[in-house]
Amino acid sequence: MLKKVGAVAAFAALASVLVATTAWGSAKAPARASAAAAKTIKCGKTVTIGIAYPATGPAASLGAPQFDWASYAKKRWNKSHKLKIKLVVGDTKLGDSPGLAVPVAHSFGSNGKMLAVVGPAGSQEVQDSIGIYKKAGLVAVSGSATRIFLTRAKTGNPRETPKGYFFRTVPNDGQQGDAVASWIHNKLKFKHVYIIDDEEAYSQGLANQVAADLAKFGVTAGRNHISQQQQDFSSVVTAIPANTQLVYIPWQLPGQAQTFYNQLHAAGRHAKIMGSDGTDAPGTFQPNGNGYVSGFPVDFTSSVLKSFMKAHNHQPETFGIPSYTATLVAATAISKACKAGHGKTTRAAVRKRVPKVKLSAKAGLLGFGIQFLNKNKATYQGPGDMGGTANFAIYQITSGGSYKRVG
Amino acid sequence: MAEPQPSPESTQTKPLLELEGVWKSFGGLVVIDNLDLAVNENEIVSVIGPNGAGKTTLFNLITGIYPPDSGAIRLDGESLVGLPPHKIARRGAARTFQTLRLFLNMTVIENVMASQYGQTKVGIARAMLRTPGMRREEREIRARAEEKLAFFGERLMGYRWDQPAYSLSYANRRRLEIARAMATEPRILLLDEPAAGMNPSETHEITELIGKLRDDGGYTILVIEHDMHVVEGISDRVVALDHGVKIAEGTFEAVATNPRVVEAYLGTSAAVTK
Amino acid sequence: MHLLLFNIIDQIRSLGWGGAFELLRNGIVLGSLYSLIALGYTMIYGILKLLNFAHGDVYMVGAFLGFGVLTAFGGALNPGIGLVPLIIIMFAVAMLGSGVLGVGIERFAYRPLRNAPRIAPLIAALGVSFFLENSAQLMTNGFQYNYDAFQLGGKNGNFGPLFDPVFTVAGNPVTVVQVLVVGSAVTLMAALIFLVSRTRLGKAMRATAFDQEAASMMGIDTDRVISSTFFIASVLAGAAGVMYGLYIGTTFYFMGFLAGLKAFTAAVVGGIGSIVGAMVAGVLVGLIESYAIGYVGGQWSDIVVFGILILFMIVRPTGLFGAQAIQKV
Repeated sequence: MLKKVGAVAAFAALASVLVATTAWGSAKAPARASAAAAKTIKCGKTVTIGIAYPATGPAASLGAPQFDWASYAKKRWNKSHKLKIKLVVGDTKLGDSPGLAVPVAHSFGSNGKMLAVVGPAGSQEVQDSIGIYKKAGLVAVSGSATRIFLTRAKTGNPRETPKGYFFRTVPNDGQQGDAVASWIHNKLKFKHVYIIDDEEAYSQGLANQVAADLAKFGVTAGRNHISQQQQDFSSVVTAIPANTQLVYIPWQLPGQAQTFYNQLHAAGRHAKIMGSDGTDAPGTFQPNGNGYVSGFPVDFTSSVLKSFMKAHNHQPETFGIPSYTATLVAATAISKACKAGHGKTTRAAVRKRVPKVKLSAKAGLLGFGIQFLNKNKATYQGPGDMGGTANFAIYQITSGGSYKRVG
Repeated sequence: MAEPQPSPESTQTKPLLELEGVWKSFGGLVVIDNLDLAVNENEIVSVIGPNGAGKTTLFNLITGIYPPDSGAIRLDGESLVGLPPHKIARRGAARTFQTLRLFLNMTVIENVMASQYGQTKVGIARAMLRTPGMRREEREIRARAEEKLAFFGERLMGYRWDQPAYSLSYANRRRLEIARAMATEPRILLLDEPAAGMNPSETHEITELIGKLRDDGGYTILVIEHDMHVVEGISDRVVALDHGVKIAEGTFEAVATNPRVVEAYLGTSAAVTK
Repeated sequence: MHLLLFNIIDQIRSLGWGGAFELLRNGIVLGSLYSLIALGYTMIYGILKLLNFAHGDVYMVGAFLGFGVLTAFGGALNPGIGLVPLIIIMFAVAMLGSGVLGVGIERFAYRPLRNAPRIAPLIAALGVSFFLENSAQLMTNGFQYNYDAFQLGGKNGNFGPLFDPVFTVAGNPVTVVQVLVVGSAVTLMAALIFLVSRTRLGKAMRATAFDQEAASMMGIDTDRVISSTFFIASVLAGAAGVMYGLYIGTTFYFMGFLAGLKAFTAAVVGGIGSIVGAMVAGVLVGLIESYAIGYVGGQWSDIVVFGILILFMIVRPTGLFGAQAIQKV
């Protein structure tokens, strides 16, 4: 879901097609991957997992919940398993230029103990660094890279994706866009929609997806843009047509979304607003009685979630939950590979275990069971995506501020 | 106009400004070479010497722009060495500049008011709150500034006060620099070529003014000057420098005819001997 | 290009006079904040010829200090004291705290480099900026903190009196907080002009700005004057931080970056070193930004603002009031 700072949407799309065909291509050579991948690694008492996320830099506020949740997964895992896991942090400084996703990948690759990686967080980071992970034989399980063609190429050919090396525990943009657009059109039956993206690739991707899907339904949405640096939206509010029924804001910063809502409201506008998983943050994004978000169908009554919240200032940090799941996926794969190898394993063995990992909805915390696809599915999913019922849910934000699942 | 004192050595025992064995070099080049200099209370001493003799360096040392490499500089018996310029100014040494350095971004009277900063307590809160005491002080500062400017007669009077300093003529800028220095309430005024760039009648006027500063203003004055008419007209005593070394000291006549001084000036010896 | 022009005209038409007024109002409010921050850049540049890159971050710290006061009194939704004293205390703490921070930055980061080559304090300024941003990030975990300003003083989470309309123009309300922001900005700027032009400290500041060495030889304690300048500049930034918090409702560690950049733009457009220039250009930048967002689209606003800066610098390198920059700090 995080994607690296993009320029204009069209340009980003063009660039990404180019990168998709070049970056993967260079890393395809299997012979070069084998040495590091096949090297025997002793499991011992503790195995090492890398976590590549933005600890500092402009996107640090998005990295923090990921790290918190991954650490929480580690803590819970280590309580109940003999084979302990250890997280090695790689700060990718997402959003800074240059970001550090590539150097982090190199350092993870040369870490002789590392068996799997949680992350990278941003889709662009995945594109930039997956070739290096491939060479090192490392599997990457991301909890937030949502760009469609990381798993599903435009041509539909899985060989044009980093199949077998990249997995994600988050539904992709295509799935989310579809869910949102059909909710707006089929359930809300709104005709006047305005879409504002925050100029980040994540946001533009979703905004474009929803706009395209709405267009299929015959709804032409107005469009505007803000930046993640921006806090005064009063003039953006002015630019929204008076008859607008719903403003769709797939942003990454829930605080920004709340400010936008307040300013919309203060200007006497009565349009509903709808956020994405980026703004799925009860307690921060509270357009009470007037808003929706798409988000993971998280069970807020879960004791795991409650105990996490207790330890983290009562914030659910839902954005980080897929990183919890991704950490569990990596730990499970390693543990199985170690068992099969009698205390020894290889990166290749771990990597091959990942697609076989299955987590229940309860264990994975995301509200749906985790199992990975090994081939294309529907319009947007491909190998490395989650299969089954995995998708975003639609929440309505009640006048009391709580998130109620409606779709 | 003050007549030259016939016997400069016969003044008080304790000089107001005193330099003892002062050395200063820049990157190996000795600019002030073991200089002794004393200026007595209410005396006018001129420093002459060819370009590069170290005259302006001498002023810079006294006013604390840089410290001497060795030696003592005392004002009224207290050492000035190592003090920052503003503290030296507050001890009572104020100067003008050969290359004029007025605050051209301010009005005439503001220039004179600004240099009274050292005499007053200034805080942001006090400045902003405008207590009656503050307002009185502000009025006093303006009054003092007007008083200093009045010293220059109609040259810097009335309508000129609120004009920007950059609108002044060259000669008036020199006068304003002196007024600004006076406003720091100094014991000694250090004037760096006060007559430079002036026409004969302005030069005459400044010569009279310097005498008046001592006689009416009660200032002790150390002056650097090239114009020998001025030097002759004002000096109780003349000190000649060459390459940082004091080569002669005494009455104008004695110094001007000193062979070493004449030699130092070489081509310009005519100017020295008139 | 034609399509873009067509869209702009279309948008101007569809927003009408009401929209035009709204954009004017938004621009002036936002611009007042830019002006306050720009003043700091211009004053510090005036006195030290230093681009104090950390200035935007002082503004951020001011916003957080205001937020801290608000939190200490129980938060916006349930403040322990009345609205007016609360806001006064927020301003007081933020302004004083930012002022002290500014003085500290000058004392420990810039003063030791006073006689170093010009590039050294510039690098130090960047360093201070990163230091403040990253410290704030660590202390706040990088989260945006909500002032809940909209609900401040309101009952049951409804909008508070800050967002009541004071008057309306063509059906568009001007709210209490907007009047508060513009009113306090104007008051602070008037106080600054008074301080610089009328008080002794102001004269000492102008003297120091023009010729530091000559000023010190006239008995002016230039170190102290420079400290005072940093204090005043930072006080203004701190005040702007609280205004922002009350008006916008959020604070976060990175907020000083872009605001600082735009305010710096304003300072340059106004003629760096010119106080009046910074005030006028700050509002101008706010207006350009507002109209660019409203009529051209948000993605263009920064391009337009900074594009105008570049154009302006080509046409008039000294800035709006550059010719008279000499007059003020």
